[in-house]
Amino acid sequence: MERNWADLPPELYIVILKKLPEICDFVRCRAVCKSWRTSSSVSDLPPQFPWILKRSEGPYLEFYSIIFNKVYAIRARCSSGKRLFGPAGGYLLTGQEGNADSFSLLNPLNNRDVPLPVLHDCDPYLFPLNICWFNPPSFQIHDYMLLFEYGISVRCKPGDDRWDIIGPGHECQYRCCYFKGFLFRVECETGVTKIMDISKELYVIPPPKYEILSNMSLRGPYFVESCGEILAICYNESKKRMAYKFYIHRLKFGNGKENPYWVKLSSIGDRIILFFDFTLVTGCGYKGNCIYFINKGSAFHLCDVHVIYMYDIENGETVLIYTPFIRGFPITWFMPTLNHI
Amino acid sequence: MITLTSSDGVQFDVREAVAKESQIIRDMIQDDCVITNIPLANVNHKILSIVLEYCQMHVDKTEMEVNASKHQTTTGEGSSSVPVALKVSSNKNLNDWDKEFINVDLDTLYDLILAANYLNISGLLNLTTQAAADIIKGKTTEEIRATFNIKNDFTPEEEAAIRKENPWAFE
Repeated sequence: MERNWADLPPELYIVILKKLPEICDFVRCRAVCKSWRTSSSVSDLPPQFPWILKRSEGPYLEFYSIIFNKVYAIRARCSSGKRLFGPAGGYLLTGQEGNADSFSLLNPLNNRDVPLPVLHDCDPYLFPLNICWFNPPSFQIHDYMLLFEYGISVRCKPGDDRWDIIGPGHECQYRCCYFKGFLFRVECETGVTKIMDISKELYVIPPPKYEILSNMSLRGPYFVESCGEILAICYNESKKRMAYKFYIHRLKFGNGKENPYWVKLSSIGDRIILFFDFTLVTGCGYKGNCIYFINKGSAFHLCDVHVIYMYDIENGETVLIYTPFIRGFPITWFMPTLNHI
Repeated sequence: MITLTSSDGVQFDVREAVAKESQIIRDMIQDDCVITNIPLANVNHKILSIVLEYCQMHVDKTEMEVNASKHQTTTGEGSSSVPVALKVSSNKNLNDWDKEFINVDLDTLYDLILAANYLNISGLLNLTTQAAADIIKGKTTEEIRATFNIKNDFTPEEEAAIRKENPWAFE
């Protein structure tokens, strides 16, 4: 062979590298030689379809890629003296063992982490048992991290020196969405949506009308932010949790005078929605107009099972997606990234 | 007809439509419509003949599809699903042809990537870089080096530091 591939013009090497969506291929390819390393960066990693994280304890974190049908066992720093709360995008929210108010965001793929400010307002008796947080898999390190703890909601960006309190407080992360300084939340009893900025309520929006089906239960709505739109997702679920029907509404802002209101959508285009920790990823290059959701059930009345379904918005069909993490520990979404904090 | 001259002086007479698969040639023809001879300083005759084979095939296929759909509209018969089915099957054939076409040695692949880039033929650039990526897939770093004949120019310390960053990817 005469050609030296190390001399390939960098812009053409990048084109090849961006065709390696499997993260191990990408990492290994960047480790081949100096010119391939220096002409590329971790941000060249192609868009990733979210992984499934098995929320087990132990020195290794286990992730599963649906697209590549591959398990990644990754030894992460959170195993030593760190308590793992859960994912925020490509990061894991961790807490220091024995130091209840200290958090950090860890990227398990490169073991780098960034401390978050100490949370002074937490209740030392309840904490950290009842902490919950909202952050979508699209969460970037410059976005706000949101925590909810018994009646208070707080936010901060990595690098801030304190948490801002968002009021009035509430505790349910599943019924809210935070976008561009506004918190969108739904009141569990009435279904009414309230939009608030950091200090006050701005709008109160009546809920969309949902179908009430016999032998099915209505769940939601839950909020997600997608491409600058706030979506409300609600679904009817059969008693045996085998049949589903989803309803998607988009929040439409009036021209400044009228109240925002909900508009029903029949398609979300090439976007996908991940449910439970519902979140939304767009433009992954995978089949769009689908909702992927995690559900917990019981198999043979013996043990808890955690399964993933794909709901096709176009034809209303629900398909079971295989994962190896069916039994035992809960599972959740994780957005792999190699970015350094 | 347009004459393309390779870097080593070999002339290729091709139909304008075939030459225009290259964005750079398309731009030249647009700017100067009487142009008939284009010298290509960066592509030798061996690579140019392979590139032109690709362009020829893709132009033929596209023209065949256009003709088929024209025929469909003029006769006004049949359901609208026929041209779609035809298109799908011809795309499938073309993909098979591409797959066979790109089964070349790595020196040729390297030259084709450079030529596709220089001539700005997006389909060919996509095909060749995808072929290179497919060769890399599933290989260890050492296997990639061996396959592409690349010397490891990291010091042992540098290499250890790289592996330490994402050790799970090397296991």
